[in-house]
Amino acid sequence: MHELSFAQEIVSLVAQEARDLGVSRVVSVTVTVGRLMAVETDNLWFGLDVLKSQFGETSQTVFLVVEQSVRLHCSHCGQTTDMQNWTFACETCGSHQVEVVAGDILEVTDMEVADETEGTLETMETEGKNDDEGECRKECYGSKR
Amino acid sequence: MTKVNVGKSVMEANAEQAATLRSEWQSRELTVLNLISSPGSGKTALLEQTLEHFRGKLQMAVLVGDVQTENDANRLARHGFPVKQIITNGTCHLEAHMIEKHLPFVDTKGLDLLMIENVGNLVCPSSYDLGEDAKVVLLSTTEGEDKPLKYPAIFRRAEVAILTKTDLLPYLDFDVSAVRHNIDQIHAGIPMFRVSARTGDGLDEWLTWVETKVARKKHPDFHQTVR
Repeated sequence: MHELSFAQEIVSLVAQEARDLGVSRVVSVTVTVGRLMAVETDNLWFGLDVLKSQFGETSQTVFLVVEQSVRLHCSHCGQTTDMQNWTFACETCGSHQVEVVAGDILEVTDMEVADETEGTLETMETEGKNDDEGECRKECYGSKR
Repeated sequence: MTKVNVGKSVMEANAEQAATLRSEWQSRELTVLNLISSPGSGKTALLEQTLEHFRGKLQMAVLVGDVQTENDANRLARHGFPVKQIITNGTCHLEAHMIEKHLPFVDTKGLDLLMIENVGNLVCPSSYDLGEDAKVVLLSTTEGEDKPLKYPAIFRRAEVAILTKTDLLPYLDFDVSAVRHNIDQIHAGIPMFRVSARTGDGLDEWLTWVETKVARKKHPDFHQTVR
């Protein structure tokens, strides 16, 4: 269960990033999880959902967790291929002389921040302005994923 | 709404602490090994034999992580080297900040070799850099030959694998060539030492590897084994 530690790091990192940018609310965040990190994405997402209320900046943030395949660069034939069936060998020539070039990261890739001139979620909903956008936001904030 | 590229590693804080430890240990020419395995694979038993072997030859210390109890530290302390237990209270792995916090309890002045016995777990410890020179993965003969395939990350990141409890092989259906084959699927060609901490069989290869590691840290151009 190292997912909870990772979730804490992510939430803190996002809140700090928002403060550095001078924004008070982060709308959504994309987290990239390499398969070599041995992270259970559902557990990570659960941790993020529980821990995000610590900071005002993240309390309403929607977290998107994206998995990244392991990619191998072969020093024998020079090809870069996706790893198949957890075998660290080149998909093209079969050589084991491979280096992991993707799939070993855990990063906050990007985020969407609310422009400070935009209304808060509550005002948007209660005032019923911009129905289309309002609907979308309600879905984004309200739904679990 | 504005989209912002962040591209920041979640492991950054740990990586920074690990880098600080690594550079401090580099300047002290101190070799650090991080032992990782499932609970009960024999990390502590291997360490006991290792400490016993190096008594009078190398200055060693051990940091040992467990969720609870000081049992392992008490066992290891009998061999005459400084040992400090790290109780994680539930955390399933060691992180660099825990090493930093507990390191002052061990005198690193004049130390040649620091062994870190991680919390028994093949998953989480693999993701955390502790500033070590190498991760060492252990697998016992009672665990099944497919462990490397089930837990690929740690076998990929380990520099050496140790098959423990080989004295039990006559009583088991364990296929040593199959585990070698499975390790090669994940990390082709890494050394796999076959040891029995109980009988002492096969320990020589492991101890020579450790001695070579220590010698290379002090003299980077060191090529031959010390035996």
